[in-house]
Amino acid sequence: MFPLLYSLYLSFFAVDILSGTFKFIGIANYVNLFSDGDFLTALKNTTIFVVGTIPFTTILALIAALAVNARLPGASFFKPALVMPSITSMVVMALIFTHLYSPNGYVGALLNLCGIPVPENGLLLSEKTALTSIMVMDILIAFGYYMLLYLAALQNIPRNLYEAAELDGAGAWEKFRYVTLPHLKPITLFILVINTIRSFQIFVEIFVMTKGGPLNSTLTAVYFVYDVGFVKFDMGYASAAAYILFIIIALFSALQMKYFGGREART
Amino acid sequence: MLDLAVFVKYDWSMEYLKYYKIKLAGYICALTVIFSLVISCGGGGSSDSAKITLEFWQFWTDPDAKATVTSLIEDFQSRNPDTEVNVTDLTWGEGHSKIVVAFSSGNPPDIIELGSDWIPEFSNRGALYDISGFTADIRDKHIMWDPGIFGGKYYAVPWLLDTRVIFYNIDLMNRAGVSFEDATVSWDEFLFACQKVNGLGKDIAGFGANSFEKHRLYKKFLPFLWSAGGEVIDRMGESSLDSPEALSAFEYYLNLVKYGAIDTQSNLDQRFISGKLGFNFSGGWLLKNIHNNNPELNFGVITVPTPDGEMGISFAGGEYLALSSRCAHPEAAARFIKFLADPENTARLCETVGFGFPSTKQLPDDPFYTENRNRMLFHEQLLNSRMPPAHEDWVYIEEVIEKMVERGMYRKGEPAELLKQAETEISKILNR
Repeated sequence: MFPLLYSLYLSFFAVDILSGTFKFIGIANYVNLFSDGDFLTALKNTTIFVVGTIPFTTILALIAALAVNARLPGASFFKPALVMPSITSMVVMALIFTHLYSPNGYVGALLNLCGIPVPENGLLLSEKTALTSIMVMDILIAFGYYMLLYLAALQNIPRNLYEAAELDGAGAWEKFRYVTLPHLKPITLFILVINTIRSFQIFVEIFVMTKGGPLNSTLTAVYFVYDVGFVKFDMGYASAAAYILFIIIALFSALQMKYFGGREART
Repeated sequence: MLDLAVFVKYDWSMEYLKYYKIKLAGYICALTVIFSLVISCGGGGSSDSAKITLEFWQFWTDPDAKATVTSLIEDFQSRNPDTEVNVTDLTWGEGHSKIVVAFSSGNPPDIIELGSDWIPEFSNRGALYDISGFTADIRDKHIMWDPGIFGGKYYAVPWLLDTRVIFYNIDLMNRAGVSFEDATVSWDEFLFACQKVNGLGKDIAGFGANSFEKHRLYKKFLPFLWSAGGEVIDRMGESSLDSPEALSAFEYYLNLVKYGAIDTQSNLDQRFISGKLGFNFSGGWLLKNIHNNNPELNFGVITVPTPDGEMGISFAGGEYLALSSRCAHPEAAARFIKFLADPENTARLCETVGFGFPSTKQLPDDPFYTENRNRMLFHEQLLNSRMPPAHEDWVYIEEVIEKMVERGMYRKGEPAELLKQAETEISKILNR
């Protein structure tokens, strides 16, 4: 609690950490942030990242969980294989993908084979492809973990509900639509909220792979906070940026609770 | 008035018990204090009681380099038996943050190794000890004191210096039908060579241009700016990027980028080592990396090109030694940094790490330097190198320069327009 409150306190000061001087400046840090091009770019990129990854991660996780739950051939191999990236260190995964995305990497070669043009200096050094490449990586790494959550929820649905639906003449789609999906609503809400918070906090991938470049195209909110706070040591400004991010995450989570939550979600 | 009846009825046994409890607690406290004093005074034997302990934070973590630093410290300790030096290793990735946090928490080490471009940030805020009085006798011995001076006072001693030169792949140049007659080349000659090598094939690049890497990209552009006669901050302390010299340097640099590849420094070094890059603007560490990873590589080095073919001005970087303002034993600590920075001792470290020079004008009389043409050229370039202006907000200024160069490389504006914008932004930083 103390760091949270102290950070709020700092956000109203111009702090020189080395000389230990604190000058009260009211809401100037907050006002300056909304005219700071880098911060606005960071918020824009973060929003693109969140909106662009969460639906794919969630849908892929659900599809994978349904496939594993249906005990399709190879499910026992794919279950650990899909989970493996999400339990591997993000730094390691980011380094692996940095090589895959390099000018001589496998991803570029694969895209070339498919006739898709690849930027000359690699996917991470073009402002048009850098953020998208990191988003794709993030989806591929993260969905395995959410698949496990969906799998647990799927295995908790009582079998007699499916039998009753079959007696009523329900087909596969009807069983999914009217039995499976309603029972997955609470876990879907949980996944959405957790994934939203995690995605808004994207940092390691950026720190390892691009440092926010090229041309700020991968600059995200937490990386901005890190840069201001721990490279330039402007702790007041960094605290204000962190609080704005905190408010945005809280708003997003509240909206999700409102629109995707419901009585089932709380049972 | 004393009520005798009450006095007699009073439970004196309890009072005595309390009295003995207090007395016992007093004895325990006294014994604890005495025991603590005995432990603190006698822990290391009587001879250690007067020993001075210095905390030294340094960045040499490579096992060989660390062994040399340790051996130097042992030498110092044997000559100064009253002083003990405790070493803490830092990495370049997080060392700066750790140092700042140590200062802000009021618990900095006594002695710190600092990168040349970090010193103003610390000295200008009163975090470093004024060592002017301790350095008078070694000022003529060393070069490149500037980053360590603030307000006419000395705050850091230059320890180990290095610079950047241009490495070129001789085999690729031969294949492209170009060559350098001398180690100093003109802008036109160099651009032509980059163009030719870049045309050798898809997997070969001419000039290795740094991508946007904080604290790196500006070090690659500034030598071209300085070599063209331009400045970031003029003598009056004003921003001066919007000048004809800066424009010609910027346009030239962007032309070089056209005939090359954009990548991170480590990838550019790797490409050069594997023979896929024609020209790489890099530091002394690359000499060691080539020796370790591809000793067969046929390469040479040239100094920074200039418009007329004279030796250009390169970027000098270095390690400096400073004392924190809270150093309890400044005399002993100053003795230690003077010992480490002594040219002979520094040369021992340079030989171990395979690059760098003691901060002296004269090249050490050592085959490690004198029998290696490339190292000798590095030293010539070092004497014709500069460090960025010692400004407390340099971290913000370098970011403006890096963003300007990056926008230019990605064709996000005309060079003249980008220079003008950068000058305006730097002026704001200088005037705040």
